[in-house]
Amino acid sequence: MKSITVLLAEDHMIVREGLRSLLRAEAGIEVVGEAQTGRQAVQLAKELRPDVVVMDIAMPLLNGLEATRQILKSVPTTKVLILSAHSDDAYVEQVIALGAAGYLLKQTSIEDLSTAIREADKGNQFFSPPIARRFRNHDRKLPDRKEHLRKRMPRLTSRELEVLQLIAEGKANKQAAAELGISIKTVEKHRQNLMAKLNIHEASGLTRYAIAAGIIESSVQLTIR
Amino acid sequence: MEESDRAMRKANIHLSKANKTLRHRTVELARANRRLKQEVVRRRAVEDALRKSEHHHSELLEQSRLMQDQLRNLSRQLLSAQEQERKRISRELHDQIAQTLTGINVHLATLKVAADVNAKGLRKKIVCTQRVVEKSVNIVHRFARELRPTLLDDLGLIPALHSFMKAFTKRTGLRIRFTAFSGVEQLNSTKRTVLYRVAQSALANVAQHAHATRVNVTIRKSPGAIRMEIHDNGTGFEVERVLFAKRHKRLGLLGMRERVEMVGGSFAVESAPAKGTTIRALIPVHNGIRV
Repeated sequence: MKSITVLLAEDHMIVREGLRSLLRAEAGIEVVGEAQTGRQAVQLAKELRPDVVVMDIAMPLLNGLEATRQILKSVPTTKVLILSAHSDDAYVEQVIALGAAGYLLKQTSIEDLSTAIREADKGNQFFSPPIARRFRNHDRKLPDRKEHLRKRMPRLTSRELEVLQLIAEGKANKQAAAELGISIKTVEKHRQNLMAKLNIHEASGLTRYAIAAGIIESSVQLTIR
Repeated sequence: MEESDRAMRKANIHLSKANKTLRHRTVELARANRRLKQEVVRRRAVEDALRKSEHHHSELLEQSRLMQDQLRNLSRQLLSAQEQERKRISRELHDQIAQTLTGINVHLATLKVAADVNAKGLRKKIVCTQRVVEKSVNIVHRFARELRPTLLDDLGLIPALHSFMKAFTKRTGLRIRFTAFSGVEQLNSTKRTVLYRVAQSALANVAQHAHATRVNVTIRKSPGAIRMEIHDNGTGFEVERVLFAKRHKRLGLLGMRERVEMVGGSFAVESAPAKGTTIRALIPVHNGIRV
């Protein structure tokens, strides 16, 4: 069976050597080239036409994102896997928008590299688990999420969870009451129970808890005009 | 005849009385004149002194203005140098330390895969070590990001602020509503950095002092400029008192103002107990007149 050909694009020597060693131990994967700058990566990709390019997002002389764009344009059959030290959503979203085959955090699950390469070669996407988890939370459907949350926090009742979420999203008692179809007094009672059960004494504490527990993604409402 | 004699004697007495009065008056007048002359001399001396002191005063004012200008220039150079230094250190932290640590973890991963499957103890130790290294990498990243976030240079002001705010709300539980005009990314790097620092500073203040529950951050287009406002619903503070307080109690307000004015913008802060606090920064789109 033909090996999957890989081009490594990584400018830091120790990391690059480590990646090379890691992949050398893998059956069915062959490293056919190494690039140290974004420009070199594009050049080598055009020359060698590898199956997969493993690209660090922060490269000198043409950054990883731009190099990815150029490679995907001039060698459409090649898949590009992004390696990054940053887990910021903004970077991941950019990478996905470009059409890359995946996003791997360098410092965490580098052992997943070979799995990611094989998935990419098949035409699938692969993300490091923490990132996959975060993006999965984004579009998990509502009833599904509630079940998932309830399993993780058995002390809170279903209703209390709902109230907690609305409070953390910034709704006032009145709005929360309207959304849930209950009275304001009831909302207040739930709020008090929440604080007692979670041993929290101020409103910001509830928001903090909700974010930490993954009930809401973040407490920032962003609008771009 | 006697009557005319008497009359003449009376007249003589009157005359001599009048003469006496006249002499008195003359003496008094002379005395008064002398005093007047002295007064004039004294007044002239005072006027001279006053003129001299006014001249001295305007010289001092001019010197003070010059020194203020020099101070302002110096403080701008300092801010600029500080920003450059932060950028350099942040990059070094990323490129050298974080990368090297990551390299170590990658080598450890290779070791883990190559190690004898039966040597479970060894495998466990390697995993442990990897986790320690990973923690170090995260610490370095966090520190580097506080110094200067790569997002700001890589993807722009809005993603950088959004990321900062997400971490901020996670830490403090404060809710933030962030509305931004996408054209702000057209500003040059220096101006975007100024806006980032002002927001960073202002939000830090809200977290520490305001006892607020929500914050609104807006970046809007203004004629020929970009306007950023940060408003919290907290307890407010006495602006005048803080601006003139001792250095570490000034809440970084002077630093904010200095940065904004350094790029030709204007800065204002309003605060009242019932109304919370609003920080306003107006940055001209084209380079303002250098003062």
